[in-house]
Amino acid sequence: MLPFTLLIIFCAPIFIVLSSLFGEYSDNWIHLYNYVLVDYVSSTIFLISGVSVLVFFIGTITAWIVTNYDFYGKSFFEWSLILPLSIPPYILAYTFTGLFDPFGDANNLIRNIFNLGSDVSIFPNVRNIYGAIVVFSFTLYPYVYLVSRSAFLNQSKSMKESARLLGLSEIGVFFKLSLPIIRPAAIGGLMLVIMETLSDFGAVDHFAIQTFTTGIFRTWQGMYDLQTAMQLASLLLLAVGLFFILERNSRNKAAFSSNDSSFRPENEIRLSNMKSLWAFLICFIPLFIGFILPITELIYWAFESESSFINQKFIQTSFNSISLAIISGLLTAFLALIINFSIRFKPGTIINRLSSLLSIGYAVPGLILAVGMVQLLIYIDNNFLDSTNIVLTGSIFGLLLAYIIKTYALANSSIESGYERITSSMDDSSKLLGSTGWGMLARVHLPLLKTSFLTATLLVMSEVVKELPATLILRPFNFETLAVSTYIYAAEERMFQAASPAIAIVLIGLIPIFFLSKMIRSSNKLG
Amino acid sequence: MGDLILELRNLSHSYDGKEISLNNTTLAVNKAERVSILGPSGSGKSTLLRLIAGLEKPYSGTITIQGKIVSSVNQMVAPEKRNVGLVVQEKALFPHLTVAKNIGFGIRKNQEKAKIISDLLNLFKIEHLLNKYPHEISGGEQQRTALARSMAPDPELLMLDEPFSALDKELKEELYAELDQIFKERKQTIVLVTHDLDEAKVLSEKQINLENT
Repeated sequence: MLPFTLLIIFCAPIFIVLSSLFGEYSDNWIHLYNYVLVDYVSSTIFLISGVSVLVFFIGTITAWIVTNYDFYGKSFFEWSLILPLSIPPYILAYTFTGLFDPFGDANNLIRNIFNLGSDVSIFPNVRNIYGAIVVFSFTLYPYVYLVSRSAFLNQSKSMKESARLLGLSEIGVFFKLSLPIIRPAAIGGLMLVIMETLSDFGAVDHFAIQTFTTGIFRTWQGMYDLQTAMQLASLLLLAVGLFFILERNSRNKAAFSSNDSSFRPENEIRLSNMKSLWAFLICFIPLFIGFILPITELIYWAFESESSFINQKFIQTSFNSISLAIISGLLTAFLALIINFSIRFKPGTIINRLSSLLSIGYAVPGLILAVGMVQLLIYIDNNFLDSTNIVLTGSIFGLLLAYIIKTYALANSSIESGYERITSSMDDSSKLLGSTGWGMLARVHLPLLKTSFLTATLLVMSEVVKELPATLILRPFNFETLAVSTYIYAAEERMFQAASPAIAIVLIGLIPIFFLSKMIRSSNKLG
Repeated sequence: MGDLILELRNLSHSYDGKEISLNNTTLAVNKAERVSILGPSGSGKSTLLRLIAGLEKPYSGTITIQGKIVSSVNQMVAPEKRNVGLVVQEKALFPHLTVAKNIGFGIRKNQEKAKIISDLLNLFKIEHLLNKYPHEISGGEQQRTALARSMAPDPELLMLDEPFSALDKELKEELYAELDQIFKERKQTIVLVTHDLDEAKVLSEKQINLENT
């Protein structure tokens, strides 16, 4: 019964949004349809195309270099190339404009060094769709880097050597053999990047680009037309659904890219000094743009800020963010544990399929989830809680529910892989020794799943702290989190004040990245 | 004495600069000659083939293919420019390509690509597998495909590194007879590395123990 109830709760916001397509279409919709919908569609397509091309090249080329060559800094880049994952695109967007606007810090620095006039601007304007493409590409490329690295590591050395003997040069092996083989895996990573790009609100809003998310937000908060906002959201949801299906298909096809896993590259090719420098630069540039540059700018802002880094407001917003993150992290991880525990005892039943359906929330953009959630909460308030003093709309409850729906997939994948390591013979022994049901969960499974549970909690926490659009819409009145605080400061162009909450978001985002990079380092030692 | 295809002079190799994996080896192979290299594990048999293929650099000595020095301490011709083929035990087929495309991989620019593929499919009796992927065919069929792929560019020298060790006895014997016929017909120069003396006797005219070279 629990999985069915959960499924209804998890899917209700999505169905509510989609049902708007069958409702009435207002004058606002006709206006949007006639004047701006084409712009939304074209700029969204241009954005995801540009991001896809750039991310594909950055992710696969850096992965190829670190897995096949021995060069200066290789072992550092292997794990540090994933650091940009800790920077949400909207924070990179804020630091980009802070650096490269005509009177940004980078332009000022160059003018001061070379004694140039204030009318001289060295760097091109970044407040446009090209700037957004760079921002998304350099924060999201690790999705493609991670899957490509793993697929390249699994490629047989003798296969590549055969290709050399059949006439391919070293570069030819990359383009004509290794890349086509890992293509399904890389495309899977690319679909996640596209879903993240489509979901973003903060960065495109800062660059004033007309995309679906900014359109939905303006229609709702500017025109106060929730029905039309939901209709726009439905179109975006259908597009995201398409990429979600493509990602699942790519994941299935990716199986062959790793079927040679018994053969690991035995010795990487040692690069000469000049080539080593090139390899270093190719790996350093994405890390520099996606991590070092924004961190440096944020630290600079923090030092330049007149108010102290840790003030009363910062403490309050940090407390709000961290407590929300801990509560949703624990609840989601516990939910995933209970569902996987149920599957363990009734494998092959409908719970199994329902569990994978519960993961659908991860693909739904936070903004759309928030739109659907508001409608759901209004319905519950009006129909079930009318006679009570309880109001769910604009409460912490709605916010937590949205976080759980959005992050369940992350917690589930971690707990699921933890359960794969607990053999059925352990269950049998537990039963024979008197621990069954909940007793087995508490005394056998939970101690063995400690790391998985912790990982699941940390992954959810990191996502919750970064989540902007859902928090912005669903938060209680006057309730600010680190993400909301950063957004409000940046919208008011008070970048110095935005530094402390932004740095806090990055630091919290670094926790799961730290564990991930530790895994990469330890897998290298084993290999 | 026929045309000299391969000549190794005082060839030595070390993977780490300290431990010698191949010591002062000298060898000559003529055109259409089939030579087997035998020797205990660790004697450097596979290293020898990797050196000839250009996948390793010698510590000292020279490798000459068709009168041209391709490997020495100061000189290395890239593997793809040596016109040699190598078949290894794990077959190393490209998992994303069909059997036909695997065979055609090394002859992309050849005008007669389709005919060569078709001939090799017939020669190795795998014409019914042309659209299958490596994971869809048996181990023996995979090995036939790997051999056909190596022979497609018509290499001057074909090297086989224990290619049949993962196959069962019956399949091996079936393949030996077929390959003996194919190699004779095509006058293919072969260097075979194996630990199996019977295999060496069936597939080659000359057997060399690496310890005695």
